[in-house]
Amino acid sequence: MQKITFHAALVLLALFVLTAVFGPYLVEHDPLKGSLRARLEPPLWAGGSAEHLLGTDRLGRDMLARIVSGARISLTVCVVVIAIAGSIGTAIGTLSGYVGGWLDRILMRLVDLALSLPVILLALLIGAVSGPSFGNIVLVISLVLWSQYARMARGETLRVKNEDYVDLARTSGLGHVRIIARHILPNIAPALIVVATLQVGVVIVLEASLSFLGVGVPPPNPSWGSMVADGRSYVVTAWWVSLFPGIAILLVVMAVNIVGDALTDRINPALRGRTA
Amino acid sequence: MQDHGYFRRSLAALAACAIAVPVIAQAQDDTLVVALPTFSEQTMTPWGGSGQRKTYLDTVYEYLVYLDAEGNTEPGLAESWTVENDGTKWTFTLRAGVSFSDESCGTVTAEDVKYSIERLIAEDSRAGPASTMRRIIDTVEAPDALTVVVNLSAPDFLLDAGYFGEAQQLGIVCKSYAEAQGEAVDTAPPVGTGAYVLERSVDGSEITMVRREGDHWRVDPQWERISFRAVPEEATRVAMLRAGEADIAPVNFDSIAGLEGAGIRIVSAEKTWSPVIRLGGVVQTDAERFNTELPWADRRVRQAMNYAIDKQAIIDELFAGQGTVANGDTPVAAWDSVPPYPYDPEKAKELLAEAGYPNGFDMVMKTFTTTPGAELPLMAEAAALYLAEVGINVTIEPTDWPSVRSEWTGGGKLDFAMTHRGFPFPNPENGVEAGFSTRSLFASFTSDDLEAKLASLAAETDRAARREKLTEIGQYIRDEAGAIFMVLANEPYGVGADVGDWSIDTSYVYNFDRAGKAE
Amino acid sequence: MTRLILGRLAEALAALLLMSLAIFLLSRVTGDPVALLLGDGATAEDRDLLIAQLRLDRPLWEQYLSFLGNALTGDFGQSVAAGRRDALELVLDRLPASLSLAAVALGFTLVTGIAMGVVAAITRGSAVDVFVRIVALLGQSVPAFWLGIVLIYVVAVHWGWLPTSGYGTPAHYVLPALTMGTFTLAAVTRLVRASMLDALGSEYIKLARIKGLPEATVILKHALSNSLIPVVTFMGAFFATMITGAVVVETVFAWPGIGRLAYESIVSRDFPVIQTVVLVITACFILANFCVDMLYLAIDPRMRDRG
Repeated sequence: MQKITFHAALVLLALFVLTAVFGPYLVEHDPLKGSLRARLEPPLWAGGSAEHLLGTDRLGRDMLARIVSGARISLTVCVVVIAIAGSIGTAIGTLSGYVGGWLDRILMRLVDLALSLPVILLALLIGAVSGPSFGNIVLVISLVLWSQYARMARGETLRVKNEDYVDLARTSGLGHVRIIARHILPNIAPALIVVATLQVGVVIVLEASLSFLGVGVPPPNPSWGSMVADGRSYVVTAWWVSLFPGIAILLVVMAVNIVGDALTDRINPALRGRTA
Repeated sequence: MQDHGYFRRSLAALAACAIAVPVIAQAQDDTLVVALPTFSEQTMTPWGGSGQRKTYLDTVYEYLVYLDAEGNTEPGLAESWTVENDGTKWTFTLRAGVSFSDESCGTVTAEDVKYSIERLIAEDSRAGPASTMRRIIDTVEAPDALTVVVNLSAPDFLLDAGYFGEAQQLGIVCKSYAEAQGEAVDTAPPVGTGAYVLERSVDGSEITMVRREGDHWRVDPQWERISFRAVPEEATRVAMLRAGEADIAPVNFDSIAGLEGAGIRIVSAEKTWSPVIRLGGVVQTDAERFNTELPWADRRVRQAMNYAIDKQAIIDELFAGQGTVANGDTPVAAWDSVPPYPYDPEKAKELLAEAGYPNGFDMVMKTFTTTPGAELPLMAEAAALYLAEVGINVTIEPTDWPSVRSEWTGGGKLDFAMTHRGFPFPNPENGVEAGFSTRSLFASFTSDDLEAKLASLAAETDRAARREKLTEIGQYIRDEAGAIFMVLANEPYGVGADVGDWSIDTSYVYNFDRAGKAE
Repeated sequence: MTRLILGRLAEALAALLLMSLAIFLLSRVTGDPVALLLGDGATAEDRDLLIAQLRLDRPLWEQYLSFLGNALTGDFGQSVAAGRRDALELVLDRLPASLSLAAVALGFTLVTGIAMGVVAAITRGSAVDVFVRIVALLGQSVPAFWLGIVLIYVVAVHWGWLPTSGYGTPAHYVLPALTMGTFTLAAVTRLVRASMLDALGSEYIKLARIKGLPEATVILKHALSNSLIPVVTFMGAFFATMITGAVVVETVFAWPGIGRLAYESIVSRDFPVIQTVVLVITACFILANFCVDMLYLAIDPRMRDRG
């Protein structure tokens, strides 16, 4: 049973990536252009037409086209955020764990500090400063997430640091940088990858909340999060505007979590208690 | 120490809500529940903030002049009034025997009115019209207990319907009470002549008014209590209406169909606001603010932009048909005869080509939401779609009002357009000045001709001639395409089945104290 | 031990100062409230007058220092957007609403999450386990505002069981707490389940079973207490998630808390209130983290030496 779910999740994720990359070329409607006269049309089976299989949104834009394009935007945001937050967090965590001593204490205090600040307020302020844009979203979400990588990287580095092969490398005179690059990073990578997969869901849902507050991905770009936010006034009257991108988010996040959990089990069951 | 006080109070409050007190949120039978998007500053004096607070303040305070359904003046706290000296001297005779809610205040006297005016125009007043009123009001005298004389520095024939009327912020307060409160007056319970008094105020959540004992001279309030709730999310307000938790609430146009289907009726304030797209940087009379590089510095381009948009479609689709195509940036009765731009994309392309932009151009449009004005971003996107068809590429930048306003009024050459709503000035002359005269920080379009016309209007002492000149100005602004005129829109309110007669005739006149009960 | 506490206090102070500086600078960069406060027909003179009144014409460092100086005496300035009301009083008035909601949400999350996690672990592989895991996954994939609005329509409008929004009775707490806690509930469930599975398969438990201890004792006393440690570890993060979710939940449910106040003050550029709210929230965070640290130390004495 578990194997089936795992494989199903993998397939779904592959579908997600494929849709993000190739999808926009395959849909017939322009996700950014709509016709006012065709706004809020229901999906095919609820009284709509074959013209718009999944209905239209509040400006008459095709839902299917927007969801497909949204995949690309959501994927991009996820990848960029995780790359940035991951790099910075890993760098700080690894350094902290490897060097130890006062540097470790200072950096970990920094991480604690980051965790004790209400980042969403910073996000809102930044959003207010420069308005919603991709750059801001990435900056803001990275601010929220980097500390998780730092913590994990440090913990893993501490564990790996004392393993035999690292000792061996050190006694054979390998420089610190090379030790980190060749021996530490590859061995802590799996845990970090797990963190990354589990954060995909957080990124997408956080982006939706930021859109709700007006500092998400700017219109008319169809990120799934902003689509759900846009449709919130029509939850009863035009339920498809929020529901379909919501389902897309649901499927991707579930798939990612299933894969992430399975990876955790495979790599290091002891990690299970340390990632949430 | 202060800290302990706060700490203790917070703990006490925490305990209180944990144990929980009934009363508050139940929509009792005799309570009219009004769900509003915001309480604004939630201060209790007329001068303590914006006109949005009139939703609750107007149940407590009253005005010198009231307006009937057609907008004509009716006696209020002033029984009669005259204007002389070509519009620079107004004399109000007050109604006798109107008592304040606080017994120690007695009845309304000229001293109270004088005090109210002076506080409203004082430098620390936060009321919207304060600065313009400060400029035109010279002195206020109270020669006897029931007479108030106002001397103006420039003629204003519409002072009664305008600044001193119920659509503006000159609520009459009790001088002795306000003076006794000192600095705390903004947050102290309000004392006015209205039919209701404040019962409770929970910051950011609820303001409940309760009916005063005895008969009131102006209204016959049907509801014992009026409870205002701050509900920022429109979807939630709609839910409250449907669940019967709210009796009256402003709603989005898109929610109208669903509400009517659920048995909630819609009452609209007719054509009380005007969503408009203002084009920045065309302050032709000020070299510092006139951006000659702009495509729309050329009148033909501005006209083209007006022709390019199918405003009727926007009204039908985004405003549920509740509005008419705008001929100006604000609803003005004197401009009714000015024809709006028809939808003519071919003509738009022609004009663009003539002006030297056969392939269109790029531009930025900033948008945000106001109250009312939740539809502005949507309208921006719709306008952008139409403009794209004639080659004008619009990049929409969602932002918020404070940021844009900072930039817009900061001087300097603007290079973007913004969605906005037209000023609902009861005295349209003030509105036109605010939008189109060089002196106003807010103006985005001015011209020497317009300045001359405005000056001529200000100096005109014959009423009929004034109206003619105002119409002329409207026609001029329309021909010059001083903005992209979009819609003269309504403001829809969802009204529950428990409410009887209730109407909003004009902006900022809510009549909640006049709401009836259904049979 | 005292050194630890003093150290923490010093850090807390540093955090507060850092945050206050960051917010101060950021909010000044966003522009000023002047344009918003000016009436529609204002002129340049009016604007200058207002700027002088609000003392925004003084150099930044002077403004910051005077803010700090006043803050030390408990004067956080007066709200600009809410008619000169005392900023600290404004914030403290709204604090109980947020704290009580967060407490209820956290309580609900912990109780339900731990219960669900334990049940799922015990019945590993069964339909119940699958059901719990699906619910947990759902909880982490749904944006809070959407969940809130749907709950309002289904529970309050359609079924009429609870009030749609607002504040006052215990019934008002249910939907907002549910919405606020869902994400964290999912996280706690998964965490507890994973830890319980770990614990149940450990040597220690096998030993207890061999000893012949009743199953209930095995589960509750030994396995559960061990699996709660990760929950405590992440408690601070959970609390943080709740506070961050507060802005959204308070908006949807018209809850008069500080999340909404923070948002409104940012939008209206009400500097004194922005600064005060952020500092108060940061202080709450720090206090929460501190409590969690102390709790951790109490539970696991081994951590005491690691600092």
